[in-house]
Amino acid sequence: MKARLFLVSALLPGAAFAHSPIKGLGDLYNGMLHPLFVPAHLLLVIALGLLLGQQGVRRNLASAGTYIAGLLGGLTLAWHGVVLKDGVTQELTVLALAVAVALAVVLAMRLPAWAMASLTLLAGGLLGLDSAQSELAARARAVALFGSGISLYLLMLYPMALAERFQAHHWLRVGVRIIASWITASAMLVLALLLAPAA
Amino acid sequence: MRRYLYYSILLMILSGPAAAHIGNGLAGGFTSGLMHPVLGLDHVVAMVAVGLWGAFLGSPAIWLLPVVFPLVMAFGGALGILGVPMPAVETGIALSGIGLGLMVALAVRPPIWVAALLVGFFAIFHGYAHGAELPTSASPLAFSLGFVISTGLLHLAGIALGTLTRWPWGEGVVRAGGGVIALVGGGFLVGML
Repeated sequence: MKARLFLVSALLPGAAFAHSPIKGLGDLYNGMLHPLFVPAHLLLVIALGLLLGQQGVRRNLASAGTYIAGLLGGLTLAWHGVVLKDGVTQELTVLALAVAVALAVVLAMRLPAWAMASLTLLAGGLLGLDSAQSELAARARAVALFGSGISLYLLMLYPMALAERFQAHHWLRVGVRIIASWITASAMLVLALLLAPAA
Repeated sequence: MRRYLYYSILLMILSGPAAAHIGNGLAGGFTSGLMHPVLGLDHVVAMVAVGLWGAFLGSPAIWLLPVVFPLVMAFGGALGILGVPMPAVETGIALSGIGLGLMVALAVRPPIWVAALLVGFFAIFHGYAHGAELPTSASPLAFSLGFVISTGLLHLAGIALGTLTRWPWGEGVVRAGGGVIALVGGGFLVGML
């Protein structure tokens, strides 16, 4: 029930405050809500959770660990103001990774442990790096980034747990692949938009 | 059994409501995207037909076709966004209604790869049309997510209706539905709708 409520609230569209703090909220809550207002983050983190669940959590415990490691690394870099070239390049990279991860779920490919660990490390790092809210000062930024880290971790856990439970039933396994195909499709479209000459 | 019928009716009702307005920001982009396929009858009938045909063909087509459609549709959308010229997009969309509707009406059961190829071919036209709207959207990613989910729900509505084939009388209803879809497609092709 809790997981369903969480998924529904995560998928509900909210106001457009992507990459900027919401006035009146504390820094921690601002950070926690940040991934929910950045659709590219949501797509990647849900796809990653689905992939981990589909591949089997027990088999990929190390990958869950490398996700946290990547997240911590990315958040630390973001705190120090490191940016991957520019904002558009960061979003493009996040979306490209979302396409790759979601496509792996659609194809239901059995990935080797090293590939899973690399993917989760890269995804965690990118998500952490792209979580900076430039408007915030040093201490406030650190608190917001901490909040984003918690949120990005929880957002990965729920689809992972659901996807793993869904592996027991044929139709639910199919459902996971269908959701992944939706993620692939929308990420591909926006990638094309970002890569279009006029963009 | 009766439960499936109720679910089918509920899903058909839910896929219908439409409120045309352009929203702003993330929420507006998502809502616009969600409404975009639903507001065009030519899109609606083709996407319902994909679900209907999938249900008619049974497993694995019932889930493979709704997976193939959004993926190839995104490819078509990317072609539109990148400015790759494509002739007769509206004709292609109308033909998709006719083609897919006839497949259901005539109970055509080709090999799965042929069905996937046909559905994928038509998906390119639908994606191209949706993709053209993307650059003008307030939030392109939210818009694309909205219309992909909407497309999926329309497939689901078709699948729900298609589950009627488990009853002898249901097959007739589903095939008649395919016939109606083909007629609507024909209406768009000749400019009556």
